Amino acid sequence: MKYVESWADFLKRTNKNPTRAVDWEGRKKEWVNSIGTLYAQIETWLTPEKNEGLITFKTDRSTLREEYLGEYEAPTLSILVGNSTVGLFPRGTLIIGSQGRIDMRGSSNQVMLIREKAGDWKFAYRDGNKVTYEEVNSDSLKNWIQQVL
Amino acid sequence: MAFILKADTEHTVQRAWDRYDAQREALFVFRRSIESQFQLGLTPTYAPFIGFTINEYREEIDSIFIELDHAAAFSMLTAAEAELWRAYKHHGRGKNSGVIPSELRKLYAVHGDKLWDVEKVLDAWRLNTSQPSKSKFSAFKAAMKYRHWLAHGRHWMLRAQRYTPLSVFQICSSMVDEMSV
Repeated sequence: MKYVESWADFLKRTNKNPTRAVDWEGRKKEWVNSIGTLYAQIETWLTPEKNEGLITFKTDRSTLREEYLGEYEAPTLSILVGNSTVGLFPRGTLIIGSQGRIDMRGSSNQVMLIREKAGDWKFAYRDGNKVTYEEVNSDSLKNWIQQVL
Repeated sequence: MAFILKADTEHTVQRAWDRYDAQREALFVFRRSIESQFQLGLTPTYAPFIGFTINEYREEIDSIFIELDHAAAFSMLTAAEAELWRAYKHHGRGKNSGVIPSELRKLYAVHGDKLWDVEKVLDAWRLNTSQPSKSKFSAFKAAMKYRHWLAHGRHWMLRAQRYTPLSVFQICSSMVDEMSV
């Protein structure tokens, strides 16, 4: 027979560690701010191309809905290259193995931007169950823009 | 070196069910662990699911549950099928009296060990017993459609009643119990 703890033990266990007072508001703010910081960094890396009129940026907001965090707005960034667009769309901060994810999508492909810890972003792409990471820097960003477009 | 798999007499309907039950429980424990980490504001880590949102991971877990159900059902159906083959060989080569042993002996006289269609063996029981036993063999025969769908790669649309591991367990174990009476 399957082990089932007693009702009293069950209540004791579940009340011993009720949902720890998690600062969800703080987490949400920190997550949204980190998106802004990343976008600013991306714009900095692409400033020369922007100054030459080869690239333009467009920012917007999208509504996200996450368990424990509820509904909130997060910034999106579109990078316009000629007639094509690469969009960066936040997916959430409650992510397996990560503190946040932004999808970078173009017309032919997409890649994830994974936030491993504060300020530490990585490109991550999946092949079946295998995930490969790549540092986010000026070179990898330009490479991925080309790949997803 | 040759890969040899011996006849597995431990592959029974009950054993298949017990293994399924253990695997399902392990999956539930895994799911609870991930859920509680999210609830506590932590970052659960599981390499194959890296980058999944809560909804994506739940969909993945659901699909694993569905696959586990199919695998368990297939395992139980084939364990019950093995019982039919054992009975075919036992009665086919033996001298037991009774309608069914006699039907199996006739079948064995024609096909010997080369018979591949288990439904012929099944029919020896199904067509020569009365209700309520008959319906147990009929239920198993109907479930063979599901077994074939699983065994042959699910490349067609199956129109059948809805089978769950529990219903398959009940169908298989009732039939096996009936055969041992």
